[in-house]
Amino acid sequence: MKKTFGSIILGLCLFLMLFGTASAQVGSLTGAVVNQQNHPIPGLTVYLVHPEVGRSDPSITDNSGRFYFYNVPLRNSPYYIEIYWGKDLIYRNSIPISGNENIRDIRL
Amino acid sequence: MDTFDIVVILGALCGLLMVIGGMVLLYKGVITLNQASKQEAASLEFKKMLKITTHYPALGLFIIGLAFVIIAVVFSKSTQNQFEITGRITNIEDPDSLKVVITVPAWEGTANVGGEINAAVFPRIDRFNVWITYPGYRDFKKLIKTKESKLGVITIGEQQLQKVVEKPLPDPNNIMRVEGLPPISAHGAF
Repeated sequence: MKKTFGSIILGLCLFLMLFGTASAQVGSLTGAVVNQQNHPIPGLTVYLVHPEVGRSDPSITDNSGRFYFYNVPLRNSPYYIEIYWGKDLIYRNSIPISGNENIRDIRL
Repeated sequence: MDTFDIVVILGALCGLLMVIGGMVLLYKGVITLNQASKQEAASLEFKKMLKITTHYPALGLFIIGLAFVIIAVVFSKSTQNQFEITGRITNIEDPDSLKVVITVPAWEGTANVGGEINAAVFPRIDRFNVWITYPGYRDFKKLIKTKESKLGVITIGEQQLQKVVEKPLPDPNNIMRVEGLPPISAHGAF
């Protein structure tokens, strides 16, 4: 009985440790979108998507074309960044996120 | 559901119980609507401002019960003000692509000695930011004070956004083909 109880407590502690570590592992992503003439594109809707994690809340590019994502759960497999002009998907590419990332301009 | 909600619901239930109970007691004949004598008249007085006298004491059950119900209804009303923002952007082609983002100013504070954070936050909105975006156009930003509202309506008037870039030509090479991604309606995971 004592052994069973001890195993449960140990398992619970391990679970909490693992869960606590996983929930603390988040990163961020910032970047900008420009056109072929290097002019920033405002008003675009940007998402981060991951097959397991899901889809982020949208980030809308500001007048400098910049977008921001915070509290991005870190995963071994890459995320995909999607950019919409209104409802039209105009860009999708994979992007590994391993911490606080500041990517170079995305040129459309 | 918090304690306040529970108290309001209990108050309303008490009121209904008294009203319905009074009707049942009247039906059963336990109480009657016989007129009481002048000496036995029930009287309720509040600070010489309000005085209610009835020669039918059984009606007191209804009055007290109704008071419970009315008080519950009054207190259950939301104390948060609701604002309606109206306006028009006159030079856009696709209204579905327009986004209106409303945010409240962030609370900023500092820590005490030793890094202790003890923040008093009053969640009362006295101003908020309206941010309107449209692809390829310079955005519109305005800080609005809630006291500027008229009967809860705040208008930003007619606005024109300034076009800064054209829509890029579609390029299939820009869109990586990936299967199994969550649909666009499934946003909000993080």
